[in-house]
Amino acid sequence: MTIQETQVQDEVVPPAKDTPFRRTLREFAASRVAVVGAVVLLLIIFAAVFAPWIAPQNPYDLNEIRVEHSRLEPGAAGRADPESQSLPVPISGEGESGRETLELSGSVPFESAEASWEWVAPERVAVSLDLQPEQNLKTLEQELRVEGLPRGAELSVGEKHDFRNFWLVAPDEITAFEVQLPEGHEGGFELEIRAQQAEGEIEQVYWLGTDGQGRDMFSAILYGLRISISVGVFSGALALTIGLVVGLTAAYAGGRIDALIMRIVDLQLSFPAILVALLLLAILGRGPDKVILALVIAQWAYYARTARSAGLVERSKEYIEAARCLALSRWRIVLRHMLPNCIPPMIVVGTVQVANAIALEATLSFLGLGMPQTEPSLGLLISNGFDYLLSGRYWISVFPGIALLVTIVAINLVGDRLREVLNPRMRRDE
Amino acid sequence: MTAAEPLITLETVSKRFTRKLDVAERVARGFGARIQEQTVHAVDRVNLTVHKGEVVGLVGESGCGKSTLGRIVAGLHKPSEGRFLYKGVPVEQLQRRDAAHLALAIQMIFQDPMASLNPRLKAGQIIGEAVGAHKLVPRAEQKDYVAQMMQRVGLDPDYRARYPHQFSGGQRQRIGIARALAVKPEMLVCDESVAALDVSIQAQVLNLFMELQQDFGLTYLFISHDLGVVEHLSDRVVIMYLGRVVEQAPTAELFAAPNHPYTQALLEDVPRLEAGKRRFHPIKGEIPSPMDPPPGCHFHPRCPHAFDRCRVEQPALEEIAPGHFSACHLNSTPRPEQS
Repeated sequence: MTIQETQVQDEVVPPAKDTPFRRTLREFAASRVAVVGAVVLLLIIFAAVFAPWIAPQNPYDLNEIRVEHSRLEPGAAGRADPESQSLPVPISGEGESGRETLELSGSVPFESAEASWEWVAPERVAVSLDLQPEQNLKTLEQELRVEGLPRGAELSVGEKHDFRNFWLVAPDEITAFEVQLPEGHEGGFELEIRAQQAEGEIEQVYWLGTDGQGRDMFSAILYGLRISISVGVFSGALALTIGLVVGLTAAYAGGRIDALIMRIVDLQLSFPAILVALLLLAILGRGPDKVILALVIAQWAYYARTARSAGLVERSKEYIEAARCLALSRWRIVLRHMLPNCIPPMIVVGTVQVANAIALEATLSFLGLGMPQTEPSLGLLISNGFDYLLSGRYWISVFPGIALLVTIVAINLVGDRLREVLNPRMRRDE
Repeated sequence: MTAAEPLITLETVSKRFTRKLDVAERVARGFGARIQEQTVHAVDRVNLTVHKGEVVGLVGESGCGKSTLGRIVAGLHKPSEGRFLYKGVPVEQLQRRDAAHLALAIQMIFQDPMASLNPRLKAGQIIGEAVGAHKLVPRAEQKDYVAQMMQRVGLDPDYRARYPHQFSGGQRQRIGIARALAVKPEMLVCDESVAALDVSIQAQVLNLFMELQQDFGLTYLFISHDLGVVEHLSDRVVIMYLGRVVEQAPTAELFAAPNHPYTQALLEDVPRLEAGKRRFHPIKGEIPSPMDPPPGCHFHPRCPHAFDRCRVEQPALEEIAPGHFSACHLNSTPRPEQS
C-alpha cells in the first residue's frame, strides 16, 4: 500500500470556517433572551464607556451643575438664567416734552423701544413707553425694576422696594406712569428700567430628575455605571488571573500543594464575600483601589475553585499525557495546553462573578464603605437618594437602582447562556 | 547494544494506586471503624522484554492493567516496584542525555483520537510543538518537516491550519501518529489505538502502522482487547489478567495452541466469519475487583479447571515450549480427575 492510497478521505470533513468561536456564537444566538441580554449589556457598556460624550452634563464638574436645579422631578426642564434687558430712559429737564429711542442691551424681550415724556408740573413728569413687540410684555411675569430715580422721587405705579432704591412695577403698568419728583428737584434724570423674563431658555431636560446637588440623574447614572462596571471588570479580571494561576497550580501539582491551596480556598469561601469585603474596607478605608482589592480578596477563591476543577478535568485528558510523553516542560503543558482549555468555564464564572462584584461594590458603597463621594458608583447614588425616598423624591434612588438591576440581570442572562453553550455537559449535540 | 539486547526490559514491575485516607476517615479509623487504604494493584510483578523491531501485542479484558503497563513503558507512570531497563540500563542510571533521548524514544498513541489532541491547537501546531520545543529540526525547516510528517501519515499538509474537531476520527488518529513520529521515536505504545474507529478506518490505520514499522524500523507495544487486531499485527502476544501476565507466546503458536485456560476462553469468544450459529460461551462471571483480587491464581474463580492449589498458590510464569510461557498450575500438576 502506498502513501497515496492511505490518503483516503475516510469521512466527510467539516468546513474549515467552522471555528470553535463561530460555533459558540451560533449556539449563543439560539436563545432569544440571551441575545436581548447581550444587546442590553452591550448598550450599557457602550453608554458607560462613552459616558463623557453621551451624558448631557458632567455631573461632577461644579461649573456644569446648578444648585437651583436640585431635586427636580423627572422630565423637569433645566432652564438657563432668565434673560434680562435694561432700558435706559434719559429724561431731559429742558423743554416741555421729549422723545427718545432707547438703546437696548440685549435682544430679549424687546426688539426696540421708544420713550416719550411730558413735564406736567415742575416736579412731575409723565412717561410713556412704546415697547416693541408689545405682546412680549405678557411673557414678563416678573415685575419690572425701575432704577435711577432721584432720591425721594415717587412713581404713580408699582411699589418701592422695602429698603432699596428701586421700584417694582407690574408689566401692564409700565407703559404709562408719572414720576413725582421731590420738591426742589431741577433738571432731568435718567431712569433705568430692567425687564427680566420669567423663564430662561431650556438648557436641558432632566428626564430622570436631579439629585440634591442639582446633578442630572441620567448623567450621574451613566458616570456611575462607568465606575461600577470598571470596578467590577477590573476586580473580576484581577481575581480571575489570581484564581486561574492558583487553581491550575493546585490542579497540576496535586497532592499536598493541592490540599493546602484548596483548604485556603474552602476557608475563604466559608465566609460570606460581603463580610470579607466589609472587614477589609473597614481596615483599608475608602477608594476605588481599596474597593478593587477588597473585591479581589473576596472573590479570587471562586475562580480558583473553578480553575482547579477545570484543570483537573483537562489534566486527566489524554492530550496532557501526550504532551508529557513528548517531554514538554511543565510550564509549557500548564500554559499552552491546560490553560487555554480551562478558559470556557472561567468565562462563565467570570461573567457571573463580575455581576456579583458590581452588586457587592454597590452594597459596600450603599453602606458608605465603598467609593468616595467624588467617584460615585451606582451604589453610592442609590445611597445618596435614600435620604429623599420618604419625601417622595423617589427618582434619586430608584433610577440608579433600576440601572444596577438591568445591568446585573443582563450580565447574568449572558452568563447563563454562556454556561449552557460552553459547558459540555449541558450541550445538546455531541 | 548487541543484537540480543532487548530494547526495553521490565523486571518484576508493579504499579499500585493507593487512595490515601482523608482526615475524617483517619479519625473514624482511630475510633475503630474498619476503613482501610484502598490500593489497586494495576500491575503485579510483570516481566516483559521487547526487542527492537518487534511487535508485541498486549491483550486483556478492560481493567486488567494493560493500559497501566503501556503507560509505564511510555514513561507516563513510574513503577511502584521493579526495574525498567532501556537497552540494558536501568532508567534511573541513564546519563542525562540518554534520559532525554529515552523521553522521546518511546511515544504513545492513545485510544480516543479526539481527547488525545489539544482542541485549541491546530493540526500543524500539534505535530510541530515538540519538534520546536526540543529543537529537533532547525526553525526554518520546521514547517516543511511538519508537512512531511503529515504526508507520511496520509494527511494533506494543507489541513495544517485546521483544528482537531474539523477532522474525522481516522484523520485525528493520523495526527496523533504524526505527532509521535515527529520526535523520531524508536518505539510506539499503541493503547487501544484503533478501538474507537470504524472498522474500515481501523484497517487503514493498522496498515499505516505496519508501513511505518517497515520504513522506520519501529518497535510496537500494541495494547488491545481485540484479538483479531493483535493476531493480524503482532509477532508475539502477551495475555494479561488482573495485573498479571498469564501467557506469552509467538502469535501463531498462541492462536494455534493456547495453554492458559483464560487464553483458551478468550480465543473461544473471538467471533469468526465461519462461526455461523455457534453459541458463544462467555467467560463465567465478572472480572474481580483489582482492589481485592482473589488469592492464588487470579483467574481461579472463573476457571473451569480450578482446583485447590489454584486457590492458594500463585502460579509462576513458566516456559512450556520454546518462547511460550504460561502461568497455570495445570502445567505442573496432573489434571485432577474430572468428576
